[in-house]
Amino acid sequence: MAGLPRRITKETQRLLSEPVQGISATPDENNLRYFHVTINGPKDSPFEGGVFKLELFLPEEYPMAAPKVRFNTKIYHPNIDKIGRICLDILKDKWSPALQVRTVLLSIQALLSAPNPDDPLANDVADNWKRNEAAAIKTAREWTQKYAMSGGQ
Amino acid sequence: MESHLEQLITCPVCLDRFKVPKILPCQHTFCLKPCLQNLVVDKKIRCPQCRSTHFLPRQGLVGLPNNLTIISILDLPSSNIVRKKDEVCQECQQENSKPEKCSHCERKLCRDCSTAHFQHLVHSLARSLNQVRKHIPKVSEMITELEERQVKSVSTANSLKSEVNQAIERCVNELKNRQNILLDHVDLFVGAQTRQLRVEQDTLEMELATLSSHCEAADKKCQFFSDASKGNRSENAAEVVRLMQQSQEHLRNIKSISSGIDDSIQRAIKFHKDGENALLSNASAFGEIAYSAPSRLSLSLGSDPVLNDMEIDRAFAVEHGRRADQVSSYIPSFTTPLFDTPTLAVSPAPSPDNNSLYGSSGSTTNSPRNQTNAFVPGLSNGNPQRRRRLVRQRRVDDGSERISSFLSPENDPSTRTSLPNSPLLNSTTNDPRWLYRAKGPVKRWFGSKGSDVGCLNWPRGVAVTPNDNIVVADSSNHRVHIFHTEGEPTLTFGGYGSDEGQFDCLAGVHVTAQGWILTADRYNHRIQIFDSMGRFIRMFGQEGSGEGELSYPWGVATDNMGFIYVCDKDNHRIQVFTLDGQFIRKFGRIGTHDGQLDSPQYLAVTHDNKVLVSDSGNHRIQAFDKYGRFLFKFGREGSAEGQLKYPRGVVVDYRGNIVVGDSGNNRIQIYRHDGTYLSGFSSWGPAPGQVKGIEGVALLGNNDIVISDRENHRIQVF
Repeated sequence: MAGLPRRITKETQRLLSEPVQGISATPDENNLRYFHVTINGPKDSPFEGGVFKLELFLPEEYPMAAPKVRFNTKIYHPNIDKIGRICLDILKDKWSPALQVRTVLLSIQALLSAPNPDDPLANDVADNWKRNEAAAIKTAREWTQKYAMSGGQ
Repeated sequence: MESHLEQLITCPVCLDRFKVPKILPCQHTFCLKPCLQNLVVDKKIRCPQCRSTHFLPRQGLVGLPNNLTIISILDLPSSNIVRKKDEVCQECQQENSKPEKCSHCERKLCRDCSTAHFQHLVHSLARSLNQVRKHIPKVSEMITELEERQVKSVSTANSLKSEVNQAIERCVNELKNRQNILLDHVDLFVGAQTRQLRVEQDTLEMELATLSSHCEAADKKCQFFSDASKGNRSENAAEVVRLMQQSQEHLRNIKSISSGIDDSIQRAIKFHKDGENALLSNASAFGEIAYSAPSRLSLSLGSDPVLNDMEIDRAFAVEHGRRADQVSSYIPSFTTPLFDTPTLAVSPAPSPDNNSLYGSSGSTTNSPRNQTNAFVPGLSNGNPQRRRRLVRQRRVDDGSERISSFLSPENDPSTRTSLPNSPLLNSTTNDPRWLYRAKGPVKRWFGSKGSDVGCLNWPRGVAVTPNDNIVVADSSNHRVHIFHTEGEPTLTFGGYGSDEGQFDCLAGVHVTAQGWILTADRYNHRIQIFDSMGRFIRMFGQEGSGEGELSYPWGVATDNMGFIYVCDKDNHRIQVFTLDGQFIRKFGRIGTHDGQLDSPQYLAVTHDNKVLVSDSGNHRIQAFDKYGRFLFKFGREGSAEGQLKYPRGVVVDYRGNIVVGDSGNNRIQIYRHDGTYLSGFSSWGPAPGQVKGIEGVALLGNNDIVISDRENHRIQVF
């Protein structure tokens, strides 16, 4: 707890007292810079009904550097690769210290609603998405059912 | 207020109160240390808020101007509240006071915030009260409107009565004229006859005089001759011979006279009353007082407790004559004929039938076809008023049918919704779930395979007339078969062929508001229109894929403006025509995307002119607006609830609920107006209540669902 910047404390407090719809973020008991995150698949997306687990870490430089976020639940998405890394500009060059954990998680939720196969991280998925969107959406739905619904890993 | 103020004095980077707030050229403010300090790269700084890059002044960050406004806010005594590490107020984020739970929203609020919150609640109560008050004048306006309408209907009643009186008087006068003419004719004929008889009589009287004088003269001679001594014998003999000859001649004359009086004169005059029955039935069915559209105002006030804004708006739109397209269906129609053309509804203008009223023989000699054809030019001349008048006359002509619908207005869908005591509008039936969840058991069924009257052979389209008769496209018998609502056959017309009034495997059938029957004559690639008695009116369309050309047309429907919508199945499109067959527009082409179609089979038009098409090959229903723009779709291939397999018949109830004949799944499914699933029933089989290949669906006035059970060759009612 000692040495934890006031900003992180404030953000944590706010995340717990005013949770965002469909998103939960709880700090790890042993490391208050490490968050256990779940995001519900947005409505009308192939991920609807799924609950996706993520991990979020606030580096030493935070908020001058972006948080590190990764999916722990397998997901079929053109901007998320096999090991859960996310291709999202605000996590990289577009990071700004005025952004917060809350805004980052909201952006990820939005990314689930609007996959962007033109800026891919997982090339095979993006290819499928572009070539046969219906089939890709079907696979995404199947993966959601398999990995992100109750009992999934 | 306080929380907003707090936000203003919070640095977006450290999320704490500003310490030495510096303002960037982009107007965004941050703490000097450590926030801005950490962001300097190469004497440049990128704003965390808007990402614009600024060069630092020569002195560095210190050279940036201070945000004086924020400093002055920070200097206010009220913002220097000492914070305790206590519970946080969920409104202002202040960690100062002991927050208490609000009984309204369960949030923990400090005293100030809860006071503000309470005031806010009171305020919003006042606001909603205001809103309610705002609607009060509308309601009282509606009441005034209703009062005005009552007054208006009294005056309408009076003028309608005088109109009826005038029309009847005209008829009576015409009959009186006829009476005079006929009486004159009688006088004429009988006078001539009497004169002739008098002449005969005179002739005979002359004859009689001649005879008696002859007899007298001859008698005298006889007495004279009996005294043989008198006169010269030979002279006497000559005299006797002369008298004998005269007598013989008179005898011959008498014989010819006594053979009888020529009664041909008398036989020539008779009063023929051949037309009397027709005239009497015409007279008893003459004229009609008809409703044609419900009054939306009374409906929304009288029976719909959940009066939403849209309905109010619509009702008011009617009142103030905005949006003509919508209004047309809601204005009570009796005002239209009343004020446009004073003699409209009941004027006995010349028509073939009416001619018989004045004809000398009084017998109806015109063939039915001639009668109906006689209306065509008038109807196609495009003058709506004239058209209306002709339609009215036509109604008068088949008045026997009309009179029944007049006597039982609850059977007439055009009046149905305007009657507040209609069984459909009581509170329990207002809920579509209630209305349709109970569906399932078959109420009745009729028809079996065959070609006799009452039999069916692959029935396809089905429709319901304004007085709840059921019209069936008896496809493989190439005829239209009309049944009474309970199933007794009442009329068939048509036969195999390609002439007027003949069919080749007709498919869709539709009944317009005025009772005309539209048929999609599938293998003849045309639409045929008949009146309610099955008399041919007109046809249009031919095989092809150009505008106005058809390829295996299937479903057919009309909107409330009277435009005809046709499922041009093998052209994978919908075409729209006027009632006289002129092409207006087309929409849809083959494909699976929104707005594209694959073998559209049936269609229905809602009261607000949405076109619902059973996009059969795509296993879905698509909704278009009247211009053919895609609105929404529902259903996809499958057999789960709400999914479809080769859907065919589609029909909409007066509330907009959609009934779909899910042909491939052998069931009926019902959806709400937005396409969400409501309920479904039936399964494959030959038993009553089961179906084998649903084609058309239609709704009776009491919301019973009529389906055409194709491969069981029957109609079922649920």
